Amino acid sequence: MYTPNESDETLVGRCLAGDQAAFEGIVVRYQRGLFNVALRLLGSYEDARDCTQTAFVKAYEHLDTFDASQRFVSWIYRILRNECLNALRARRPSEPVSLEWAAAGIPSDSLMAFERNRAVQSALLGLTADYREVIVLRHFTELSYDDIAVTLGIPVKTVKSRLYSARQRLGEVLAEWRVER
Amino acid sequence: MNERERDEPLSFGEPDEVARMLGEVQDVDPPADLVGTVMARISSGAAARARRVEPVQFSGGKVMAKKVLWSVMGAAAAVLIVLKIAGYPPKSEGTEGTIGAAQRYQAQQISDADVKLTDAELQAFLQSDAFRKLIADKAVREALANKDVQKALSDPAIRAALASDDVRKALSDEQVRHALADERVRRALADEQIRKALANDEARKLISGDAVKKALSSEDARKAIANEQARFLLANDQVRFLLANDASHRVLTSDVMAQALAARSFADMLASPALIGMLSAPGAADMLASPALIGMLSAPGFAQALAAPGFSAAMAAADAAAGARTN
Repeated sequence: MYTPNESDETLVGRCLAGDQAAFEGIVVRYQRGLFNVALRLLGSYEDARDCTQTAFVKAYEHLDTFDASQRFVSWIYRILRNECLNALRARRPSEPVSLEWAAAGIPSDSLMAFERNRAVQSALLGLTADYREVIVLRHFTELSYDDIAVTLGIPVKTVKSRLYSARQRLGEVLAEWRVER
Repeated sequence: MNERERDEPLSFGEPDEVARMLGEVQDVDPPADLVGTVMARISSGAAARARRVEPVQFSGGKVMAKKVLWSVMGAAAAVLIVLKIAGYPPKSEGTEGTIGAAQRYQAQQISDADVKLTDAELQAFLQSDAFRKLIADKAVREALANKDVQKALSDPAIRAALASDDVRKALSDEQVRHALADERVRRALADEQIRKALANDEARKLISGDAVKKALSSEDARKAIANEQARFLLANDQVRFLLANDASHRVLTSDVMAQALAARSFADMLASPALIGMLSAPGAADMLASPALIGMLSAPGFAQALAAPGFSAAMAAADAAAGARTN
């Protein structure tokens, strides 16, 4: 059992003491954030589901290596990011990615929202992995610049400059869609 | 253009069109069965890992995955130790005879001074910051396998001391783990100055010495250990040699000497190679054993004299002469 107000550190401590059920609190807390990051990085609903599950399992299995002086949120996103990069490397270049999931949660009469979602996702997939990940972590999570820097293992200044470049590139890809709108 | 050169504009926020578009993109709900699937995979994880890792053949003929074996043993030991210290499970009346042997065996590992916690206390301890840090620390988990540490953990003073980063780090030192078997050392850890001193390599070495353990019974001596100069002095081979001598040991661990050591000027003086050389001479320790002499050495007036420039110059000259003889 766990309570929503228990901190990450408390839940991790309980897991390390053998209380497996405490990890459910961590999964519930981070499932939406991790899944959406994986979805935006990979573009595939199935791959995102698999990578998110595996990231949680790996986090649990390696919980004893977690450095308590760091933020847990950065650590778990780092595991997910590595898992997604592995999935991208294993993917064949010609493998098609279905973006039908981009319509999820959007009212059927809101064609514009659906098109925008799909355009953004297509544009994201057109970026290199290092540009894509910094955009996704910044715009689809609550991570701070410091957290993103720890997650990606790069300095904060590099996070900011890479984000700037990535948005410039994303803007170019989206320009056509914006003009048409 | 270099990526770093483009850093500044971003510090003023992200109000551009791309950022706005990204902000309008909605989250997608995760699969409804994600939590259940993850927890099921975790539950079956040990069995899966056992199948994946290379089996190791033990002499008894049983095949077992070595990595899994150690992981399970380590985790089980840590949990059992913590629960035992906490007094779990509670003993029920009427079953003493049936588990008498097991109780005697446990009593050998954990001292009779075990502190029994109530349900609420156990919950509080398991959720405490100290416990989280304790269990997350690899060195501490390894230390938990040590009999002396297990014994020490039954002491509330030690559990409280574990909130200190210095103490947890010190636990990775074999000498400290061994020293924890001594009640005087455990009591000394209640002293904040001692806990801080444990961050120092020399202090950790010192705490494992019998002479210093004896001295730790004295509050003044504990202050002396926490004194940087005194640690420097006690790290000296010759001083430790002196401590092995009954007469000088009595002197150096006496309350009077401990008080004197707490004074920086006195410790400075004792750290002088010339004086240490002199104390090593036959009969010098007996001379030093004179309460009158110690009383004089530790008198405030004497400390003032030590601080005088003339005395410093004389000691420096004596040190130079001692150095010249050595060379």
